[in-house]
Amino acid sequence: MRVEIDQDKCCGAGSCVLSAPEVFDQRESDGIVVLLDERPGDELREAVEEAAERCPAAAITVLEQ
Amino acid sequence: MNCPVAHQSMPTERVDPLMPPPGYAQLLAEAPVTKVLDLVGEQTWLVTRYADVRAVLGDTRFSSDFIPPEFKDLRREDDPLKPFIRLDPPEHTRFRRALTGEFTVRQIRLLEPGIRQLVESQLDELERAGQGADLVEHFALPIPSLVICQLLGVPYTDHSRFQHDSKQLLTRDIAPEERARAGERLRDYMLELVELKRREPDAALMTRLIERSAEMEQPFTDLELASIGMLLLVAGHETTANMIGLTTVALLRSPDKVEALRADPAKVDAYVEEALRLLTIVQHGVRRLATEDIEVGGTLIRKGEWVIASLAAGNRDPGVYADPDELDADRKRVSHLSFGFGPHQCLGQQLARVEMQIALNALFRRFPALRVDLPEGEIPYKSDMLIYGVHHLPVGW
Repeated sequence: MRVEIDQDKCCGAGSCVLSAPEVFDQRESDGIVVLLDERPGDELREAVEEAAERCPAAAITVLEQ
Repeated sequence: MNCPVAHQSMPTERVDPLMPPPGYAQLLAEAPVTKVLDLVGEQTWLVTRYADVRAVLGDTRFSSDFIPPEFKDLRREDDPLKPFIRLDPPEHTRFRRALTGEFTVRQIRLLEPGIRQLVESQLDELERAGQGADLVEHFALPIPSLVICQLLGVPYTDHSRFQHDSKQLLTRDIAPEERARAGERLRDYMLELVELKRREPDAALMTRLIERSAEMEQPFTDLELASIGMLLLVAGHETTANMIGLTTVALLRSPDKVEALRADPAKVDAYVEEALRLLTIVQHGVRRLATEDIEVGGTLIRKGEWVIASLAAGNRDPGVYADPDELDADRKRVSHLSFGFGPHQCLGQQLARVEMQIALNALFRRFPALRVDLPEGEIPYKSDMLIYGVHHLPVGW
């Protein structure tokens, strides 16, 4: 699984950090999403998919590769 | 051409005060995208399915930049004080990006110890007030008010000034002049605060915002700073206060749930998410204006038409939530719509969550036998307000 984020779309709601703190964080200065792990292991799949589903700005994409 | 005209009003009549009006379940099943008359009698589309609510609120072609008909008495087209929830990107982004760093998951976690302390001292106050004390006055309202005041750098001693005016702004049936005056008083209050923070900077949010603004390409004017402060102040205390009061009523209806929560306080986040979903205090939905022809759920919405996305209905969409009316803390986590969706989704949601979690755990720990000291039929619910809740809640323990 590969994760992509779009920082221009991000509105800093922080949902992804609640769902998958191992994979997502927020920039201190403006709360915008930061990707901690571009290729998280399968054990995090559910959490990452939840983060993508919850994101109000559709800024997270999960790719199969 | 299909250009339906509504004769039916949007559902507002509740049967069970803790459930949305039954009309919404019927719309979900039979007419998920339909024309209705809104609260002030204007033609509007009403969207009720979870996926369609997300589609509308996530699509900025549905604009937020308008004067809501229910507030048209309050604002003029040239109003310099348009709150940033009424702006579209990129204007909206200028405000949002200046604030998101203040409300990150990490920033809010730093506030937790202070909130815990404050919750305990409000419980002391409630206890001192004695049996039959009002939970709203001594607990549900002061907690978020004190938190947002500390965060912003507003002296809490001024709370009688802004609590009254905030309430006026959110009352449905109020004389236009009265609402306009409440808005002006709040604005003047915030302008004074901005001037104060320029003279005497402190460590709170408004001072940081003033400093950050000075480095921006297009710095905020004092009026813009005041409008940000107003929005954070009003949104920061009314909403969470209502959720704490209403969730208490809801949980006390199911003593087994209170027991389960007391036995496993770590699950409070699941209870809070379910309470947010089921109680949906933004009871009349969120309005947008179509800036072009857009299809939603197979129905064409024309440029220039109003759309109301019903958060309450989407939150009980049976296609998304099994047994949608059940408060089920063990349900598989599906996001809810109570903080909205899209680029305007609630900025303070992490703060609201933390306040609710700490407040509810502490309340039921301190008062294991808490009860509402009123017959159900006499609880004063906020049917008269734009944001739902309870006006007062006498409790015993």
